[in-house]
Amino acid sequence: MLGQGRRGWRWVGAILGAVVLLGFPIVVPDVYLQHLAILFLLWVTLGTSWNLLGGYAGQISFGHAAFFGMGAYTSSLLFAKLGFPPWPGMLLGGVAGVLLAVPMGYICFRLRGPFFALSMLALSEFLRLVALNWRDLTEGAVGILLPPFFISKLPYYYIGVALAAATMLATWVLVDSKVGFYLLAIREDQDAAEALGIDTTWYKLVALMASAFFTAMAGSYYANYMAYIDPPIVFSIVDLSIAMILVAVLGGMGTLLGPVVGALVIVTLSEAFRAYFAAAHLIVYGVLIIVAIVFMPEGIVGSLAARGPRWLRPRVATEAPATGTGH
Amino acid sequence: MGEMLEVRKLSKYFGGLPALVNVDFTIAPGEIVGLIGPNGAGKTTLFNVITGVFRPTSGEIHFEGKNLVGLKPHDICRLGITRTFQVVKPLPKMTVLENVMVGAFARVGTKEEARAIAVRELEFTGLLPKRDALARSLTLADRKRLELTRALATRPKLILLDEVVAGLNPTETEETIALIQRLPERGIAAVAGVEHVMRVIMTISQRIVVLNYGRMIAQGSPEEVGHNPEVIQAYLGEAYAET
Repeated sequence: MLGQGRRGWRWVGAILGAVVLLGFPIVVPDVYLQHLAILFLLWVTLGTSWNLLGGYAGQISFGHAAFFGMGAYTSSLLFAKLGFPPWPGMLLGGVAGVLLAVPMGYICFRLRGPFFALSMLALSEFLRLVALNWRDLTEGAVGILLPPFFISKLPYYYIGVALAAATMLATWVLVDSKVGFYLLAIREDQDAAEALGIDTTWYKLVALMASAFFTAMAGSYYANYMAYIDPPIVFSIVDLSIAMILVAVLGGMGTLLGPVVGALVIVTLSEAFRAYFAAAHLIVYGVLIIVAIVFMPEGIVGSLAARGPRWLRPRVATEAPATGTGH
Repeated sequence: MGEMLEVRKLSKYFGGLPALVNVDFTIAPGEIVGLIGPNGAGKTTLFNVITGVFRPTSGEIHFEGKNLVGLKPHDICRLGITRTFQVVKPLPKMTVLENVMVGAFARVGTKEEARAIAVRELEFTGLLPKRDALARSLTLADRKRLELTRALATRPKLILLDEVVAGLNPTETEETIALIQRLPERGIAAVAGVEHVMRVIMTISQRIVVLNYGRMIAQGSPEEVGHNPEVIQAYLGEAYAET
């Protein structure tokens, strides 16, 4: 049946992807390209996290940098001030993101309209100002310098692979279950969802917690990799919050592969344009968003899939009884 | 006859505007009740209050002995009351089957179980051939049928149908009525909200409740209601009420 074929292709794709990812730094020893690959993995993680909440559940966040910065500061402070090892610190960073997400979701998800999107924007700015001014804790604008944990890029690369894979796998498992159906139903029509027995506040909160967890982990990971953070970097509206939206929208909201394609595009473009345009890369972001919305409102993966073979389509797999079981 | 749903002295004001005033009725298990009222009579408000979208200003709603006032719509769905919407609300980018599976998940946890329930309900309503179509591609009649199917998949004991036949042609109306008539044999009670005193509703309903300007002006068998002077007045004007 159709579903069998699609499932087969998915596994082939996943295995092929795994081989390419694991072999990349061995085949390509160039340190700069390895650095770009690490940025790519970071953006896959961020785009996928944002997409779980914004693309699947339809809850748009304008301030996901709040979770990123929370994760970055949590693990960095633990490491720099208490000597707490950074890799378990990454998990604690994720937990800190969830702790931040719970009250936000609990308050905002009872309301409809732009409240959540705007509250997230306010939260991330609020945290940036706290990080800037609470100098006793955060060193303020001086930032935190971390002793590099690894000299080689290889360990960072493989941790990045693990983080991106975990985020994508979690998204896949979640959206392929009852939760995924419920998130899509909430995105499509919240009144209908409630009438069908869906506790919309709770399921939106579940999506937010998962999204915040992986975004904050990515923040911790970034801090470890860069070995330096300061408030304007890790709470950046443009370079994080907006860029995450761009990755998901450009790649294809509500699709599993969309953020991967989006991450590829944005890392390539921002590297290509950085040298020539400096701060003007913002113009490129703006133009990209306009082009995407006008010509491909479903994103790259969404548009391709709508014209391509059926198994590629960004849908919850349900056509055949054979799909999506056994994991 | 044990009553399943009891609505007592139910009122709902929006500011100073009375949308429902002292509405009082009951529904027994497996009963079909026609809820008739002109546009703006308060039918949708009544459904919204029963299903927890709005909190009543005063009055009580009991379902199988449980007080519904203050519960959320999703709680009320899980207790066994579900509804369709006057302005249909399909989940447009999901397929027909997926729409119905969302309903089925109210009772089961896995995709396989939900799919099995959904397929059964799609067979019941005759939408199974369109299972893979996107909901947004359906005609109005099919969207209405999809909403009914999706509501049935939540395994309700009572289903509130808002404007069941509005916008349907005579054939589609007949088909919908035939479906509603089969609900009691499955132990499901239904309230069918309609704008006009239609013969079809009169024939399938055991009881008719008539609303006008938020007040219940008549209740009884279709026969009684059809001859009630107040009902005639509400629909045809005062001149006809005398004769």
